[in-house]
Amino acid sequence: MVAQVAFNGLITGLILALPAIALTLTYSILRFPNFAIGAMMTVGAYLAFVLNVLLHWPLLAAAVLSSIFLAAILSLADRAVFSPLRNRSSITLLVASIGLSFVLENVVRLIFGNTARSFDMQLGSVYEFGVIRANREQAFTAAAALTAMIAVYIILAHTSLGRAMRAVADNPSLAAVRGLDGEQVIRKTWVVTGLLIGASGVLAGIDRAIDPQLGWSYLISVFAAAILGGLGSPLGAVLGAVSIGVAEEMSTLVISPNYREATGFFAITVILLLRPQGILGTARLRK
Amino acid sequence: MSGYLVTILIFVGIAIMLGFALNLQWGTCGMVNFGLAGFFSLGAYTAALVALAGAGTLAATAAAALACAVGCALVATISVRLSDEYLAIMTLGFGEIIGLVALSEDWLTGGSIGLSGIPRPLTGLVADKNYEFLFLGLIIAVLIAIFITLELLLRSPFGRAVRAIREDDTVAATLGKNVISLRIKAFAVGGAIIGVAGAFHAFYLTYIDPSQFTATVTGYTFMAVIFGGRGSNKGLVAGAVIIMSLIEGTRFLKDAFDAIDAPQLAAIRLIVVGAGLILVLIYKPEGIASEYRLKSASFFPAADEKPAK
Amino acid sequence: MTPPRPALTVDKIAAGYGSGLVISGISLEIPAGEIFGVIGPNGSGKTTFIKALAGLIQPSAGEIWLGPSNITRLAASKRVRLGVSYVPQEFNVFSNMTIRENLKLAGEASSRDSYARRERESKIYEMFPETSRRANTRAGVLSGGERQMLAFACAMMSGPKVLLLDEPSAGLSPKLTAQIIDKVLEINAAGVTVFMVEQNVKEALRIAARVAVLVSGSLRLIAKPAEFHSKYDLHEVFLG
Repeated sequence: MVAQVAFNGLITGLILALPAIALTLTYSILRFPNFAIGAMMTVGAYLAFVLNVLLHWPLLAAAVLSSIFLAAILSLADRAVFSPLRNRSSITLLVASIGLSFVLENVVRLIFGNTARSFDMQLGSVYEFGVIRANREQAFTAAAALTAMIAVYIILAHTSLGRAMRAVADNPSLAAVRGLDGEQVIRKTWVVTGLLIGASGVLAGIDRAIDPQLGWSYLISVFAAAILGGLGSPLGAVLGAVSIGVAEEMSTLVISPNYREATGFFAITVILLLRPQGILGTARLRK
Repeated sequence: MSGYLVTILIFVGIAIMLGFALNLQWGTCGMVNFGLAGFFSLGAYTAALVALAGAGTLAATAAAALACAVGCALVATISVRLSDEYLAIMTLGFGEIIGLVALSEDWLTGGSIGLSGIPRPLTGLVADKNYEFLFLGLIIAVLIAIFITLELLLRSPFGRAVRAIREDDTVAATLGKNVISLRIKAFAVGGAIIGVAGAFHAFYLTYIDPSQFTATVTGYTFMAVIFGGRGSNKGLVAGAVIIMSLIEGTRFLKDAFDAIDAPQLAAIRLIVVGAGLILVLIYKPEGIASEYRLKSASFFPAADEKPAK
Repeated sequence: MTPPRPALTVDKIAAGYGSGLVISGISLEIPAGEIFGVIGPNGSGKTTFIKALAGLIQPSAGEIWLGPSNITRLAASKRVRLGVSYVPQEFNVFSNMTIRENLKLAGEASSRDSYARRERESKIYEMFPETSRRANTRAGVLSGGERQMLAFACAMMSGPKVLLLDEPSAGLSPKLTAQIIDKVLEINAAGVTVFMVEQNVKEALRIAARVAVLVSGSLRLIAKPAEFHSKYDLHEVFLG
């Protein structure tokens, strides 16, 4: 029983890993915590919903194309919202991102209403590994999430874009004097994070119902994962996400499932009190 | 018609009270409170429960103020040594938890049905039909009292210290521990004001449920504060009036266009709030000095090589 | 026959942070191939000056020319393509990347031509042999001297015409300082004009063709090292 719950937690953690990586990348390169990440996940889920349910595309294809669309939407959002505020404080950007989240979530609500929807997925076989049972959705989620994470790793560790992103995250003025155009790196970062968030939106939509609150319901958990892992560290984000996922699922054994989000909040509180820089990160602490 | 006007003014009054609180927390101290709606509901539920228990509306208001002040102090204490971004997520989370408790703990909060029959202050004083005017008067009196208190506070040593922190954190940091406890105290005072606003909300409506306390409230309060020019209470009043008028004005959209139903109207309002927030941030850059303090480095020419943000 | 344009021309620039001006009225011309030093007491504005040349600070007055191009309003990253390369005093390498990654990044950031990059890369490995030996070491674990060499190597990856160095010997032992300064000579011998802010007056005077003295934000004098020994009393100049 516990093993099953832990396994479910692992899957939840894999779902959280993608937006947590996106959050940590945005934080280290754009220098602000993106509170719109939940709403962005919601938009990703609905884009895939349109392709999958209304246009009858197979889910995988819908997921890929919707992620690409989301990346485009985020690039536009960056031009419209964050680029004019590029030199302002992270607090201003953070407040702007909340504004953006209101807009994104409610455009979705306006178009689709509040009814919960779901993807058109064939219910499939259940796989058994000893005491643990995994259903088709979980297998798909695990495969998709792992593929995305490997892709991100390859980009960051082995491509010139990845090096550029790491450089700007580490020291933007040094990056500039080495010849890197910060603005271009930022735009490409939105593309990468857009793809990640789009994919996570689909996985979230598989896990929970697709409704306008979908991403918002993950927001605290995503932040908890990124903070636990250490803001700025993608590997940390993955570790943090899996930990938070397992913790959330395990918490349902002792407290009411209504309070899932509380686990994330509790985790953030504990981390900030004990080790604010998280497992692998370097927090920018007040002087 | 005048009844409707009085209702709007009462809502505007409560919004201004929330604005004063956020103006203190964020406008003056730079502390982002994304859990405003949650603290507002904490105040409302506390006041409702205390009043329903028979302790009287004054005690209920005091209890609401205390509960919110304590909540704010706790959240601030956890994150005060860290950059303000952490406070933002802490307050957001705290707000969400309050919302979850309000929704789940039926035995205490009535769950999604909420609490009703909340007593009102000073009901014996006037005839029922004139009560709303009295209530409005009460709110105005409380607002004036809060305004004066805040102005005095800002001119006091406490206020000067808090503004020094806003102007230049480096200089203020040499004051050491004081900075930390000052910020917590200021945040808590803001919390108390939110609690009072929650109490008035509960007394006016006489019934409360979780659907009244959504992110919308947080959104418009931020907008009012930025619009008015962060830190300035006079500007805030103007900002709140304009925004509440806009919000209440869109109520008529529903009657004008049958195609729009209530959830869609709510969605449109939030889109307007969100877009408004962004536009105001982009086009009304005059804000607190700390906005630019980081860009202009400091008065120390040998300042760190690492780039400021 | 018209004389060749100077590699770097500075015309009455003023710059500072916020409301205060840290430097003002600075003008000078540096011919191609020269090693030009800037010395001065702490707080005289040397770092502000070099940052203005690098493009990290916008001057509030005056112009900066790189050869025939006016780069005054050009962003730092764009100046690299034109042939400027800046080595900051601190935080001048990416500590979480390996030596090889630092060099690759420097190459990629400054040029799209991968063939030219590879050529330059091999030249850099020749000029800085330590870098190929420890190519996979994280830059953060390098010693001060090794880090400085890496910073030079990265700056050279863009094939600069003008190299801006901010106190290259800062924090280094005398032996390492001599090594670093010798490397500067080697770089200059390869045809790069060097503009060097230095705290270590002796080393600056050893290799520079001319040295400028910056005091309280203004240029007090420019002279050849020999003249410093004979004509000028540095103490007076610094204090005056």
